[in-house]
Amino acid sequence: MKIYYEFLKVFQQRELYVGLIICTLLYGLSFKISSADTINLAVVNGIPYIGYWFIIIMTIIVATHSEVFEQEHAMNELLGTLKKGHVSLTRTKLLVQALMSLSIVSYFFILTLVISVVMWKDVPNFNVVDSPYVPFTMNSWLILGIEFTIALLGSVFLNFIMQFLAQFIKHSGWLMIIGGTIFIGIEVLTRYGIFSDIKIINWLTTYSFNNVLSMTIFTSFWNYTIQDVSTFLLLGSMVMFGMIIITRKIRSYV
Amino acid sequence: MKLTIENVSHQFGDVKALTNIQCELTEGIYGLLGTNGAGKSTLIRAMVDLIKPTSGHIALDGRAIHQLGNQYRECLGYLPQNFQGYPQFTAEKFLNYIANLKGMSPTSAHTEVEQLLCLVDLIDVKHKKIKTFSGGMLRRLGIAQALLNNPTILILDEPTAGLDPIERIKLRQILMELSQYKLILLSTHIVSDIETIADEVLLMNEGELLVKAIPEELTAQVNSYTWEVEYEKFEATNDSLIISQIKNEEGCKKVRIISEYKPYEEAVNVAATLEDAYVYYMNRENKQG
Repeated sequence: MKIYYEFLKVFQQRELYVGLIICTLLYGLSFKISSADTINLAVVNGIPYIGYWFIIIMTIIVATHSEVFEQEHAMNELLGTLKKGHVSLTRTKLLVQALMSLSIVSYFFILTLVISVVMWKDVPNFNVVDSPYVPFTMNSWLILGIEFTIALLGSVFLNFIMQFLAQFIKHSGWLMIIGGTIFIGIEVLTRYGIFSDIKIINWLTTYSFNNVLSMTIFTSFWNYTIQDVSTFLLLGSMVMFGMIIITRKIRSYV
Repeated sequence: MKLTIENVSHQFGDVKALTNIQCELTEGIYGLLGTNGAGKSTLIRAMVDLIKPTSGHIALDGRAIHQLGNQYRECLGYLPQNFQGYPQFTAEKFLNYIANLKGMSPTSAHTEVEQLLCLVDLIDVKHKKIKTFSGGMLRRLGIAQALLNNPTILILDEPTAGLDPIERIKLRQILMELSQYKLILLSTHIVSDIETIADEVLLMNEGELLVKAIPEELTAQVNSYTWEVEYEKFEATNDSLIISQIKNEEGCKKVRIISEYKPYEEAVNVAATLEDAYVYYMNRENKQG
């Protein structure tokens, strides 16, 4: 029941629908622009160039309103006096956020499928991971599964990081600005190679969500396997989950 | 059931919000009176375990409430001062949600939600979104959520804010009916809200508990200091006089004055009300301060 009510709260956010419309349009347009040559190129270009924007932007939008929703509706005080209004509610919120990440990634892949079928009357093969660990000869459904898993784990990890920040920054606007600025900043640094000779910038861009969710991490650094990255994302998500719960327990007084 | 507040003090940085509050509360209605900024809401927040006092502790039947945790929350109903709810939820959905967070089963929640919606006269608008509610309706919804799960301790911060006179009377009736088996604490700065229903009144000023007494006891102490005089006789320039009320009685304007001596030759000593007692205590404290 609690999950149902938390979903209701998530779907109350207008930003969710605005973001979804904008991201869908952008993604559709990106196909149109980048697909002039061949079907294969268009499909290949889906995730690494524009597609991951979709996932990151939507994840940030969904994540920023979850924890601060109560603060913005002056409900924290009341919830703090309820038996299941503390840690139990936070656990439910995190579960709902993970399910929202699943929805975002699923929507993205379904959208790719729909666009491909509509524009080229063909099902995409999703061969976006150009890595020795994911050879093109591999079953395309398996590749789809791998991409889906990486995108999902990346989205959940990013979502939980935002949730953790929300424990301290109690304003959705600020959270969105912070998340958006980091995303755009890294995007600019990566695309234009600015300060790439500085070690820390190089490190930041390499291990950023932009690089992971665009699957570029597999193409640029051959020593990272799918297992390495997915394990890291899974562990990272679990650590963030634990840290959020611990923070809630410590900060039980509003 | 006994809720003990023992030497509770609380500080926000350098600002002392509560100073050595000490009292015991059992079943019945308690009115917590005080000016804005007197520390009422801070005391209430400590009582509902939202803040941990800097020193001292609050105990239910001898056990500290912060140690009782969920056991304490199970028997607590709370209406915060700035209750808003979720604008997109309907009244029924919101109450079901709160019932869920209080750990009630869906079946018992459904029945109780219906009963409470009837009790606070929101049954006809139960499918309407909270964003369409007036201030009074929102307050009634807040009262209903506090009553969910039949709490034995009911703490209401400014429950009558935004309620019209009929709704206020209805609320008093509800609270009177409930008070037999519950500890009810009403925080307000409107004296008339509690005058007729409170078993005991707690007066607060600048973070201190000035007095805890039954209303009759409070008024009895001020009876000999309460005077009434016609407005024409009253010299408005006299700053030393404390005015408790100016009223129009049968076409004649009268001034109620709180004074330890007879302020005018024509002044008549009258029976004090709780409002007179409140004005007297607040002024006495401010003078001493």
